[in-house]
Amino acid sequence: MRTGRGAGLRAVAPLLLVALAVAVAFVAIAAGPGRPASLDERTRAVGATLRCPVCANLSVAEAPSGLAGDMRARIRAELAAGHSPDQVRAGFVAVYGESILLDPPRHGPEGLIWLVPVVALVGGGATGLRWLRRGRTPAAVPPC
Amino acid sequence: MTRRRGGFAALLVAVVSAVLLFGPALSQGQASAPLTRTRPAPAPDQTLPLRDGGVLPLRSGGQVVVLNFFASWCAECAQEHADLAAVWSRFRDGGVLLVGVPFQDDGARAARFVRDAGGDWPVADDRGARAALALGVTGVPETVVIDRRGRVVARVIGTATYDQLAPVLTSLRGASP
Repeated sequence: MRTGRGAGLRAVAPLLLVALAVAVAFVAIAAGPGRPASLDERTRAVGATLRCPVCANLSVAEAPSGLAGDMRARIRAELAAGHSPDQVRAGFVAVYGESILLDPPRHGPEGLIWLVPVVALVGGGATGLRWLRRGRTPAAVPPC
Repeated sequence: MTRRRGGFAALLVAVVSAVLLFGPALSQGQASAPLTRTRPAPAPDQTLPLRDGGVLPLRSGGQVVVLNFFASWCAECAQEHADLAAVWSRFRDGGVLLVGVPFQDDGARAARFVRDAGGDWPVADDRGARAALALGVTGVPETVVIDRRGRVVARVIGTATYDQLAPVLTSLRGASP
């Protein structure tokens, strides 16, 4: 004879499956192609990846400076002319260098900085493990 | 041995502290920014409208072009004005064109700033900062030198001086286009 708990689960299982299917469908619709992004949205998206050269660490999308406004206008014009977001970014990188990107690619000499935390983590972890293991080793007892 | 190490560490800390404390003050005392001879690269393929009419094609070459990005609100721009005037006075009849390019400023106010200070070189109207963005300008003052072949060959990020610009312009003026 089955327990009451097992029978309850069996009764709820189809409902759970339906709920899961509905949730998956919602996610698929939300992540699907949907309506194409407007020119304003695409301009904002590209601007959000570029650093305003005359502001304190603000993106071109949010910086209030006049130059950021001019950059937004250029981004918009280039996107409207059919350039891809990568082509627009490449145009700014060609002139200002990769420092114009808010999230610069992790290669070249600047990329070494990303290695520091990794090296520190691995090196520190290894040293810590060795220290812990040494602590566990029973101390040699001098013969009586 | 431990004592020696401790002394070395203290000395190191003292040197680093001194650099951090006095470095900025020393660099502020510098009269001008360095002039950088850049690897020659074609100037942007665009024209720069001038306020008194006409346009300046940046890449066409034929003359040496000095683009001085400035603003009326910029104290360092006022500081370098006398040096630019001296450069203009010496080289204006020798195949060198000095052009003031207002940056993040009202064009009329910027032009007045040049005239009031006694400068009579052309002032451009860089709408939308097209030239500034194409040349990678990040602030003022900034001076870009374009050779007779339409290539960007030198740049001063900060206050430019006559002593920096004169030798470069002399050599570029003599070079064949």
